[in-house]
Amino acid sequence: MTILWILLAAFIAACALGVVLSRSPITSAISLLVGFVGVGVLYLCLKAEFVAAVQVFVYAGGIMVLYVIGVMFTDSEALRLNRQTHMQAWPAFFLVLLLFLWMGHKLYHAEYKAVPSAITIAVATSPEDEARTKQALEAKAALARDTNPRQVSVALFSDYLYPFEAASVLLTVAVLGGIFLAKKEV
Amino acid sequence: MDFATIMQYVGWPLIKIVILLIPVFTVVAYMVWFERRLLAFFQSRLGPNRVGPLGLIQPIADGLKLFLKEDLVPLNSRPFLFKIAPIFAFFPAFVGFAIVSWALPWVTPSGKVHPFVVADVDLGILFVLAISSLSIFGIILAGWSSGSKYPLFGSLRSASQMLAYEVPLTLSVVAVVLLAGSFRLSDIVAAQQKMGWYYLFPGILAFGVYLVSAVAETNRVPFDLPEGESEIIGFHTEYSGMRFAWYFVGEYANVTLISVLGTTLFLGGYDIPFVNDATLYAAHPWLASILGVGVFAAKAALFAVFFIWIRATWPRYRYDQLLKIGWVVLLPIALANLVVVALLKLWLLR
Amino acid sequence: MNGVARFVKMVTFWELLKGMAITSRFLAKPKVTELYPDVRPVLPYRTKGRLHVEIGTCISCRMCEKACPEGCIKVFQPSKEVFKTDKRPVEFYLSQEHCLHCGLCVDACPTGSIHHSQEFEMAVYNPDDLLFDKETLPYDLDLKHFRWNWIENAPVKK
Ligand code: SF4
Ligand code: SF4
Repeated sequence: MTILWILLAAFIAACALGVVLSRSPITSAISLLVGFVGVGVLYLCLKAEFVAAVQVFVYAGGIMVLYVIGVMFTDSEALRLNRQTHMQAWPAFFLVLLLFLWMGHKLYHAEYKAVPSAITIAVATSPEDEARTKQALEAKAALARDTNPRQVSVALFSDYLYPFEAASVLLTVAVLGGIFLAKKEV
Repeated sequence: MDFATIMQYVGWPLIKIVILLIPVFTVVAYMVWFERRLLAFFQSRLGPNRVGPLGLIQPIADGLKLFLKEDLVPLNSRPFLFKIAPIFAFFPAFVGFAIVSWALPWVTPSGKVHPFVVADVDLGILFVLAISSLSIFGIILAGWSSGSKYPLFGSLRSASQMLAYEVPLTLSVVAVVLLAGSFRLSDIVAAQQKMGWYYLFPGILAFGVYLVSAVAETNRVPFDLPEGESEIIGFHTEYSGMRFAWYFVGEYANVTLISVLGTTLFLGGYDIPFVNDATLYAAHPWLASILGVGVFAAKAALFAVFFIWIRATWPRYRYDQLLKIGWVVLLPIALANLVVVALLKLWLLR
Repeated sequence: MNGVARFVKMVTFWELLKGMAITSRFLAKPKVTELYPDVRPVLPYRTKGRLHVEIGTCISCRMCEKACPEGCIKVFQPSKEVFKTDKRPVEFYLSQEHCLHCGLCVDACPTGSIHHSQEFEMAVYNPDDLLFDKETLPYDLDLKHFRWNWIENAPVKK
């Protein structure tokens, strides 16, 4: 599993490099697309199936299409011959490296608490109690019913409702602004 | 990793995939034959009836012909993209079959439940939608990499069409998901069996939206602007031989998939009408399973016949009308229907 | 009332359904397809099929050779002495490969020896098979297809 994960991460990283380093915009777009799908697979490995599907659906299937269409009509020989990197790349590279090191440090030393499931609690507190065992089994059944999309939606509409709504308001504002800018006469 | 684990994660899925793919390939191939014959009958013709009895070997002959044809790559094209583009059109249609639940789950004597699905994931229909949203790249890349203007415009038309119709299609599917409370196709069928009638009735609007956008999504008449077999130049103009065949097969696989999904979502899937499936299954499990698959195929065939029928009847839409129907008519209907279905679910069908 | 009817028609997709009903009627109708190799087609009287040459009545006048825009006819006249008694050509080449089926040779022929037939299946594996000479040229002795004055002889359509 670890080997698979490393391969996948390397693949995504290669795609990301392809996006940045490629000289032809369309190749960049294609590697971005493949990278999106790779990230989707990564989510699948983390058992976040819903997020994986949405990743593929929205990013790969929706946004990338618009990118590719845009690129298709602006693609030109002159663009392709341009250098893709310049001298600012080196300071930027070191800054990003620092950021990554800091993030890695933080993540490495973070404390992960395993969330005990209802079954383990129930069984651990009183293994002999029959009513408790029955309750535990029920909880297990409920857990089985608790599908991935359900978990996501419960989280989205209870704990994270305000950020969710705020994000949607932000997107609406962005859409309206885009229309305003694109339209010749209002 | 021992043998059992390998079997569980690699062996059995592979066997299931092969068992599923053989009939699916056959059905897709004969879909072409069926369409040509039925279309001919609608037009007072006979259709292909020479190769084999009733022309039944025609698909094989066609495939062989395309296989032996020269595989041309235009000088002006981007060869790599040109060569991989058909894969994008071909594989999403076939991957979608993985989550379709074909019959009642098989219950072993020891009480284990084996669903008749290749991959029984929670996501179900969402997975199909996500994968099939990738098929648009097959069209865009084909048009762009051909290095010619006409395919480029063809692919542009088709891209905007698919973008326009994916939204109502998804919303109509979401209505069904709301009613059933699950993305999983076997759960959706089970919910319909429990409710006693098919989602065709509470979701009639969603069904209509699904039908229209499914036709548009599969690029068929009256929404066949991307290809325009008879007069407009489509995105696969530069393709020949087997690469063209992938597009062709992909299109028919898409039609089959859309029929199968529509059957599951709105017509109760493998549920045998007027019969209590559970009791029948308890009495004769084999009979119930085989009948279920047969009924499923018959319902899906109804969809296919409908698609061919409208192809024989209706003229093509103009491009602006097509986009207008998608964004201005279907999208509001689908959204309103979503609200109605949500209220229905809240008050009536708890 | 009219408005209501139109609204109902619009909501029920009346026109679209009507179209589908019309096409569905054709499902049961007899088909117009002719099953060609099994059922031979009845060709019209004036079909310009493959050329037949009646060597027996040909007078080697070479009118057809002159008239042919494709130059696919070549007639070899007999020697002068023979010609006095027997006017038939010593050799007659006709290349169906280049023939346009234009009928100019037929119009030019003073004796009606060359004429179109109803034969139209001329597919061969080797193009050389389409070059005919005196021996291989098909002809019909009963002059069924005798096209002299064919306009007058044509059956009149009422
Ligand atoms: S039909 Fe026309 S082309 Fe043919 S041999 Fe006669 S004159 Fe020549
Ligand atoms: S025109 Fe008639 S008669 Fe004269 S050479 Fe030709 S076929 Fe013979």
